[in-house]
Amino acid sequence: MNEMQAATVLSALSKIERISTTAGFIAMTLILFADVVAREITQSGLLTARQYGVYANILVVMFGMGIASAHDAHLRPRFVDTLMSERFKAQTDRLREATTALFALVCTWLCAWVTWESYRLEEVSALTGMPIAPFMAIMPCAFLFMAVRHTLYMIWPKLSPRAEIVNAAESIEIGHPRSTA
Amino acid sequence: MTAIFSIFALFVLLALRQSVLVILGVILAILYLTNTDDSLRFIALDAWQALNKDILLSIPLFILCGQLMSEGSIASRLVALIRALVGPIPGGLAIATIVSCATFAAVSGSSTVTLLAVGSVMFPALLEAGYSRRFAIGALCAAGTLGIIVPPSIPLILYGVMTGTSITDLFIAGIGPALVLTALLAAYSGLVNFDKQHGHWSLHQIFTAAREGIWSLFMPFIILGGIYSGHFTATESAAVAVIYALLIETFVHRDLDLRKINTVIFNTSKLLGSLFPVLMLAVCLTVYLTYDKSADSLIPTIASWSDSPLQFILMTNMLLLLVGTLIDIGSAILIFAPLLQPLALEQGFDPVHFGISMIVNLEIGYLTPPFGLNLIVAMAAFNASFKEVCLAVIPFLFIMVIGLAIVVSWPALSLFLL
Repeated sequence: MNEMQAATVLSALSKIERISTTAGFIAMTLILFADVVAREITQSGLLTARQYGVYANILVVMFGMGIASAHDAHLRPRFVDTLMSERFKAQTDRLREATTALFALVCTWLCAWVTWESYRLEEVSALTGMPIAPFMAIMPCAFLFMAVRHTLYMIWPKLSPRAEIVNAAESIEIGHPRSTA
Repeated sequence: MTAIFSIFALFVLLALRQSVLVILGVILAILYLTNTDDSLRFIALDAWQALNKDILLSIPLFILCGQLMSEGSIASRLVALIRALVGPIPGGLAIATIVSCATFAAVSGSSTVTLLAVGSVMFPALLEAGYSRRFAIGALCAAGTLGIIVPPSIPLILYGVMTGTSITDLFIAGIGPALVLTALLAAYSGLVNFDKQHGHWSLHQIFTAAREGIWSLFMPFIILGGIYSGHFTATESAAVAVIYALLIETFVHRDLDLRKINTVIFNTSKLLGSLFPVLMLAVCLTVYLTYDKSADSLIPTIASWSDSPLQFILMTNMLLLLVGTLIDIGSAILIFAPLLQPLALEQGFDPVHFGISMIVNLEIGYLTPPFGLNLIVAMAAFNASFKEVCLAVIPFLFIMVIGLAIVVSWPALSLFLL
């Protein structure tokens, strides 16, 4: 794999995440609104609406995690930025991406294990009567995307959003902007 | 041993400029591996349980609603109406800025969204009317922070989720402190600009602004009225508010199209993607602390440090002010709320009053250098240097601290409606 192919993979991941979060948001809003309308009309809301809304929210936030990664929008203590030496920045940046990728990989494995257990035990939601495993599978998928993304950032640091931010800042000579996340 | 491992990991990860998500995850793994018989799989199970809660649904919807209104024109119409109403009194435009922020905060639930939405309209208006640039920046930065105490507020929801405190109670309790802070900021703004008076009241102007802003005016009634009357839960009112904002901005104001809606959803997803995974792990940490009874063992230790509730609340406020200067409010609530609330209860504080005090305290963190979020947003929004923004907020910081002292020392202010 070369840098261009890696960029294509990252772009594909971003597209999937964007479509998933948009679909999740639309589903969540419509389901919850339908619940309110149903309650107003029939005096009893849609019993399963909240649970499906929760699943839609999980889709949004888990794939939103990838979008946050792709734009360096994760919450982080930024005061250390000014304390750390720039001398070893390239090395520490790679190490950071490596630890993030490893962290995400471990999370993928743990979440996949829990999902598999749920599938094996045929767990169903008490509210919807539907199996839980397909919804749980969102978590390992999102963490796997995160692991792939940060592995690629580790190998090709120029693809990282932090590199893009620094390049942009240098080009317009305004110093290092901070994320407002 | 666990403490040494955890502190070592913390410093290494900080040195690598890691995200809170990874730092929290690694420390959680160390705690699970060294202190319990459970395998790491239980973290994944706890994480799933943390996300699988319908109480969380109001957060994405309120953020989405705030972003929709910010992208559309609900904010500018609300501001126009408030300007028409209070603009002609001495220092009126300054007061209108503060009241506009408080009003918009009541529908957006976010400090940054409030600062940007009201700032984009009021900043040029203040400069044009002869107000000093320093005052305009300071007033908008400070009043923008009202977004996190005026209900519905995302930090209040986070506090409720993390401590099991009723979110509706927190929303109701936020009204008194929000009114006091608004009054303090408005009074200061009016006093220092007493010599600036523009125009007279015009019934025609008020009527026009009211007619153009009538749909925007319904928004606070839908959100707050629905919750306080018991007609809607916080989540239901958020869903109704999103649909209402979408319909009004798209079909009545005609300020939103599909491209803008797509951008709004993208920005909201990014924000949620940074917040919720941390929330998920913070809940896991709370589960661990409950299981481990660490908080229980902390209580006698802290009790031995402080002789009285007054000493405890002073220490807590000093700690939170320090925390607010270094980390963002979301992370601060997720990490410190479950740790501090049991201690506060032990000292005899009401959980709702303590929550409000904590949020007002962390609200000040939005204005404190070097990492106050509103300072950073204001730099970009008003094209100002960091030094200029920091100097501009100094008088407002003092006022906020006075407001904090009132909120902390006067529990009835928060609890009188409960």
